Amino acid sequence: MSRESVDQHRLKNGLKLVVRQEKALPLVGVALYYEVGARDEVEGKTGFAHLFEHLMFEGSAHVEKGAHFSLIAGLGGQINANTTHERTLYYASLPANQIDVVLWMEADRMRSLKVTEESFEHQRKTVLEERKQRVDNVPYGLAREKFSEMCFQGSPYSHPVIGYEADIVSASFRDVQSFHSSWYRPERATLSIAGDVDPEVVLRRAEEWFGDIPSGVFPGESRHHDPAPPKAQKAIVADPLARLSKVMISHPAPSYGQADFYAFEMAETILLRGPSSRAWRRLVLDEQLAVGLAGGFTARRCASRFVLSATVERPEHMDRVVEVWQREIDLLVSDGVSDSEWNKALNQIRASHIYSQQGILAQAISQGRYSLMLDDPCWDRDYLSALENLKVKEVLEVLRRYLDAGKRMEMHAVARGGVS
Amino acid sequence: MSFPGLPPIQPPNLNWDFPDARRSELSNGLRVVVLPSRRLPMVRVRLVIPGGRCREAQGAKPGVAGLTMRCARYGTRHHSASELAHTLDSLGTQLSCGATLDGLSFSVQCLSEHLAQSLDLLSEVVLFPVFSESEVEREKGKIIASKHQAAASPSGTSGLWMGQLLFGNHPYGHPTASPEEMAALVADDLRSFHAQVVRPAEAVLVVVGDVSEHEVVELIEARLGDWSGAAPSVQPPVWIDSEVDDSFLVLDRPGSTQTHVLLGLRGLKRSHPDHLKLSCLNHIFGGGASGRLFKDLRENRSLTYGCSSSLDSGVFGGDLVASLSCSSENTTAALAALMDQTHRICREPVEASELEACVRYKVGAWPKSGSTLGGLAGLLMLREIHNLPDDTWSRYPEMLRRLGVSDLTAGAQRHLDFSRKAVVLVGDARALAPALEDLGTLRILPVEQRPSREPASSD
Repeated sequence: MSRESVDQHRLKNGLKLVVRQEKALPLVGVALYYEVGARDEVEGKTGFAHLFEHLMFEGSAHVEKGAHFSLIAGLGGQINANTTHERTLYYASLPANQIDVVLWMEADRMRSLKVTEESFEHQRKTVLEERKQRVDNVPYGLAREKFSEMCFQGSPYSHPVIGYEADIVSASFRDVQSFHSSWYRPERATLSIAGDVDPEVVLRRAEEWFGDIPSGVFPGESRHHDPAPPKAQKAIVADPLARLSKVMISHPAPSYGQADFYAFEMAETILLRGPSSRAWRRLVLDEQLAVGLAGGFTARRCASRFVLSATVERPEHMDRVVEVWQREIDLLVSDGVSDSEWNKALNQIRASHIYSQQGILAQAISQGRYSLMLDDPCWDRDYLSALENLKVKEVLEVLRRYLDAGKRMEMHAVARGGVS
Repeated sequence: MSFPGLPPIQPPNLNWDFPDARRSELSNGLRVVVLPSRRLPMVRVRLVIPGGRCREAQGAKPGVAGLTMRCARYGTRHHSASELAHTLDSLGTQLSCGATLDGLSFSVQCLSEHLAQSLDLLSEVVLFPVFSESEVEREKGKIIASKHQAAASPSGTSGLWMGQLLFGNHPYGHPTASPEEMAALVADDLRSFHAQVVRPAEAVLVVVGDVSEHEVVELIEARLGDWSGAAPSVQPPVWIDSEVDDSFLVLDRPGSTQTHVLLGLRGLKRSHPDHLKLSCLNHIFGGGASGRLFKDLRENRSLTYGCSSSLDSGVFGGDLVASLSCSSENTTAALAALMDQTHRICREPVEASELEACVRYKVGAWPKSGSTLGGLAGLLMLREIHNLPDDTWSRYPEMLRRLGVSDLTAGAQRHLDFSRKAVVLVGDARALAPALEDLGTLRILPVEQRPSREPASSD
C-alpha cells in the first residue's frame, strides 16, 4: 500500500480535498474537517462549537432533520461527528459506490442550514444531558475540568469542549446562522476520502457540488498560540463520586510540526506503553502504588501535553506516585536508554503503526488530520524513519527542557472518605 | 450541473464474498482454522477453550476463571513476568487473555515477521503459566479495587442485577465474584483450574493474516502438538423457567444527577436458527442512531443523550438489553417511553420499510467485517464455537434478504416476552421514587449492594 498515492487539491473557493485510492474492499471512508473548535469560543459562550456540531444534524435545504443517520444507515454505512478544541469533524463510512450520497449531504449542509428555535432548544437539552453523562455524574469528570483550567489558564484551551452548563443554558439561537456563515466555509474545510474510489471522479464531483459555495469573510485569526506554561502547581479536590483516588500529572509538550515531536513519541513509549514500560514497572508492578495507569503524549497544534493519570487505592500514595514518576523522568534524562530498551520502543511504535492501518475510515481521518494541521496528508510517510534517525542524546536534551519538575502540574482527586 | 434535490443513491453493489478459511485438526484434537490475508504484514491469533465462567457453577470457586486468565501472562516456567513483558514488547506483540461466561480466550496480534516467536510465547502462556503467589495477590488487589470503583459508577451494579433478574439460578445469572470471594482465592486454585480446564480437545485456534496455511499449521503443531487431554465437558445448565420479578429495582446512588436505566428481556442462544431474526429486531429497536429508541427518546423527546439496545447470545441462552442515561427529572418519562417501545417491538409487526432499511444496512455494512483481521478472526471463531454451519458467512447476505416481516413477528412472539421484562435503575432514589411509583412497584437497594450467588441449579 503506497502512502504516496494520496492526491491533494484545493478548489477555487479554498476547500481542500484529499483522496487516496485503496481497493482492498468495496468501502470508502469520508472525513470532513472544519477548522473551528472550542478554542475559538469566548468567555460566556463556551460549548457553542460542540452544540453547533449537533445542530448540523437538524437539517439543511434538501435533508430533513435527523435524516443523515437513517439515509447513511440505509446504505450500509455509519455517520457521526465530534468536536475538539481545534476542529470539528464529520465522518462516515459506507459502500464505496454510494460515496456521492455523503458528498451531496455534506455539500448541502455546508451551503445551507435549516435550524429552527425548536430544534435549537431540542439540541440544547440533548447537550445538557451529554454533559451530565460525560462530566457531572462520573468519577473525576469535574476534577479533569478543573485540571484543564489549571494547565491552560488564560488560554482558550482552558475551558471544556462541551462547555460550562451555564453557557450551554444561555447559548443564543441568534448566533447560529452567523456561526455557520463565519466558520463553516469552504476555505476552512478539509475533505478527506480513502477507499475504493476513482480520485478523478471524486474531484469532479467535489467541484460540481462544493465548487460554487462562496468563501466567507473570516471573522479573525484563531488564537493559534501556545499558552505560556504556568508555574508548577498542585491542587487537591474531593471527588464524592469516586471510590478510588486519582492523581493526574501534566507536563508541557511539543506540537505537531515541531522538531521536538518525535522525542516525545519515544518518551511516551519508554515511560508508559505496555507492562514493560518504566512507569508500569515501578508504579504498578514493583511498588504497587497504582492499580491502573493511563495517559501519554497528546499532540495538538498548540497547547500539547504529556500526561500521566494514576488510579490509586490509598490517597496517601498520591504524593509518592508523583515522586516516583518524576524520578523515572529524571533517571531517563540523566542516565539515558540502553540499546535494547531503545530498540524495544522502536519496535512497539513500528508494530502499532502497522496495526493502526486497518480500517478505511481511520485512514481517511488520519490523512485529513495531517492535511489540516500540517498541509501534508502523507506526513506520516516518514514517521518511522524519522524515529529511527533520532539520536538518543538529542532526545534526552529535548525531554530535559520540557519535563522538569518546575513546569509540572498536579491534580489530586481524592475519593470519598479519603484524605491526602 | 445544478445541485441535485434528492440524494444520488446508487443501486446496491455488494462486491465482497466472505473469504474461504481452511480447517484442520491436530492429533490432540485442537481445531485450527487459517485464513490468509496479506494486505498488511501482520497476524491475529485467537485460541478459545469452551466453558468459561460457567464452569464456576460446576464446582470451581467464584472468580477463578477470570483470575486464572488474568494471571496466565504473569510468568511461565521459562520466563518471569517481567521477562515475558519485555520480550513481547520488544517484538511489538500484543498478547491478552480473558474469560467470558462461555470461554477462555488467548489472543495475539503480531507482525508476521515475528509470528514464530510470538507463537512460542503464546504456547508458554497457554501451557506453562506458574501463577506465582506474589503476582496472584497483586492482581487480586487490582481487581478488588476496580470492583469497588465500578460499584460506585453511574451504572453501579446494574449489570449484575440484570443478569440475576433474567437468568436467576442459571450460571448466566450468577454475579461475578464479590471482593470477598476474590480475596479468598489462592494461587493453588488457579493452578488446579488451569490443569483441569486448559485442554486442547474441544479448543479452537484461529489464525488470520499474512501467513500461508501450511506453514502456520506446522508452527502450531510444533508448539501445541504435545498438549493433551480434554477438559471436563460443560454441563448444559438447567433452565429454571421462573417468573421475572416485575418490580422496578432502584439502586440508590444519592446525589446522582442522572439515572442509568436498563430494561432487559431474555433472548436466545447464538446457535438458534432464529438468531438472525432477533438480530434484525434489535437493529430496528435500538441499533444506533437510526433505531427507534434513539429517534424517539433523543430526537423526538430530548430525554437523553443516547439510547440503544444490544442482543447478547451465548452458548446456552442470551438477552436483549436496552440502556440509557437521563436526568432524574426525565426518568419517569424516559422509562415509560422505553417500556412503550419495548412493548411495540415484542408485540407488533415492524414496518416493511424498517425491515428493508435494516437489511440494506446489514448487507451494505457486511464488507466492513473484513476490514480488520480481528473482525475476521471473531467471525470465524463465532462459527466454530457455536457450531454454526460452514456456509453461515458466505450465505449471510442472502439469508438477510430472504427475511420477511412475518419472520420477525414470529421470532418476537417466540422469544421476546414483554411480560417478563426486568427493569433496573441506578439513581437518586429519593428524587426518583415519587414519580416512578406511578409506573410500578419499586424495590430500593443501595447502589453498591450486589446480588447474592445462589447455589448451582441441578436436576
